[in-house]
Amino acid sequence: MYRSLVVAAGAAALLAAALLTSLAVGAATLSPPELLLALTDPQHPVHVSALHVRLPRALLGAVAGAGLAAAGVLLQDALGNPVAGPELLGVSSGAAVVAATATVLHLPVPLQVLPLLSLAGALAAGLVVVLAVGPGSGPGASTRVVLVGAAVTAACGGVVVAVIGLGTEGDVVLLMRYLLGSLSARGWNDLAVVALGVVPALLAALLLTRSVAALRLGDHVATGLGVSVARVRLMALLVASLAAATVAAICGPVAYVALLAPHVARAAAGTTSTPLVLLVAAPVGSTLLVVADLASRTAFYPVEVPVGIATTLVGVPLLALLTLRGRPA
Amino acid sequence: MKVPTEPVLRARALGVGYRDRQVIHALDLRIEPGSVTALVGPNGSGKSTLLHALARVLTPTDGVVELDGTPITSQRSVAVARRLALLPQSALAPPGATVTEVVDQGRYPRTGALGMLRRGPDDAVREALGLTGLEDLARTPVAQLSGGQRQRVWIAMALAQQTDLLLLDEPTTYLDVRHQLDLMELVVRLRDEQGKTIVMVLHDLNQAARHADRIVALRDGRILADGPPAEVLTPRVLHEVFDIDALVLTDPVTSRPMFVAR
Repeated sequence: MYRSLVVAAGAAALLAAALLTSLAVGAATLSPPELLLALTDPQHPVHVSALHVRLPRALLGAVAGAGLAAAGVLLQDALGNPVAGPELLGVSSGAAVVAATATVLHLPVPLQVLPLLSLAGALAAGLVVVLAVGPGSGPGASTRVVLVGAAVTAACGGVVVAVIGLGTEGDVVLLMRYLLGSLSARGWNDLAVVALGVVPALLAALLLTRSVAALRLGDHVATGLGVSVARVRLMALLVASLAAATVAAICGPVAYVALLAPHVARAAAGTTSTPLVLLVAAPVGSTLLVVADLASRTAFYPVEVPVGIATTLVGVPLLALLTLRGRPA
Repeated sequence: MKVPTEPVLRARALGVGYRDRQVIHALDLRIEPGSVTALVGPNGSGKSTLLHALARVLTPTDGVVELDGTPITSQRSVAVARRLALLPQSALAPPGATVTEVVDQGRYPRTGALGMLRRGPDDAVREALGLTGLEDLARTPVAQLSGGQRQRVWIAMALAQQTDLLLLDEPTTYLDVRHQLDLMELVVRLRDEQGKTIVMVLHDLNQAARHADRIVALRDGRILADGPPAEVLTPRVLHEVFDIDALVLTDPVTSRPMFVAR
């Protein structure tokens, strides 16, 4: 308990440091006092870039990272599947279908509305998976999510490829924004959309964790403890879908943060208790994404690597390491 | 002669089944408060299924289970969990979770939504760890324990629920002789000192005869014999229920009946 709180505080401190670095580093690198000046003084040459480009982007990374981490914790513990992540829910492919269709067919959609439409696509894909899995409980739930999720993802992928085939080369460039996870060129509006989905999802996740923790003991034990097993599992999947869908709609597929943050949290806090893991995983997820985004825009400056690629490149070896070390799932 | 009491748990015309197979048929059963009841029967006789239906983990296809005179499925599940704890056979050991963390889950029905932010295990958890002799293993991951030690963890979790009713599905499975005896003595002590009501599925008939107030013998989802050990543990019942030819003796230690197969 105390260790978890200390680790959570440590992760929050790391997050603060990552945010500050992210704000300070860029085309013009600023010292902390300069940064403060740039953010507050409208006459400062970097004011617009600091306040309307770097700040929302950094905060978006933090909010999205926490949302992905919460989705990972809920999915892993509610399904009893240590490698579960929002990829299972097909949300990013649902977002991609909408984005691809709107872009290629040149639907008269204002740019501000496109994220909301993508969100609808992401949520629809998540809902299809969750509802197809059904409230039925039992060890089969995890398997059914994997199978139905794979089917929905494959179907959406097929649609996206088909739609791209109808488009021009110019459309494909636009589409990259949705097909590869990225925080680039996201502003306050984008942050607002993500926060509107992620903040309620985080609160709901916190309230659900105690019941989700009981699911880890098996459905009969959980029922005996007074947990409404089917309802709790359904709620956990819906909340995870909400968090993952809002992130996918705005940032595209950001892989591995949801999978890794809970594992890092369990290892660092030395506990597998769902509520404590969530408490630690949220700031860990934020930090992971902010750092990954910072790396993705500075590593090959001025060329930017989509952050989804950065998280994958970091995530795969880390996951392999965790697996080989036999970390408790 | 005992004064008839209101049953604390009651099955009326209970039918329980899975998709294509009816396991329990029109079964009536009254569980009196402060008693130790053993459910016995051959494999597939429906004794575990009956126990799970009594604990509202399985939903009946017919009839009703009443807890304190009210249908159990119409009561809030958390409220039921404050009255009745179930030790199932199918408990999973969550990877990485310690003994204390698992036993602490028994407090679920008694803590609010923010109960997870409590400082640590409470008195009920410590008492349950003590009663099951798990103090020394409190910080050990459950996944590292032997089958018998794990069994004691699930029992401790049920005890931590602090319910008047305990439903135990084969609680002595995996336990060595010493721990089997300890557990049976604990069951009797919980009845005597705290007035708890215990219903347990047992495989060992002599164990049932030695420690239970009452034995309910099932076969093919029906009760074939029901009564004090002396009435149930007879050559005729043993033949009808288990198809065995048995010699029934008097246990020299407890004066209860015991059987030896011929």
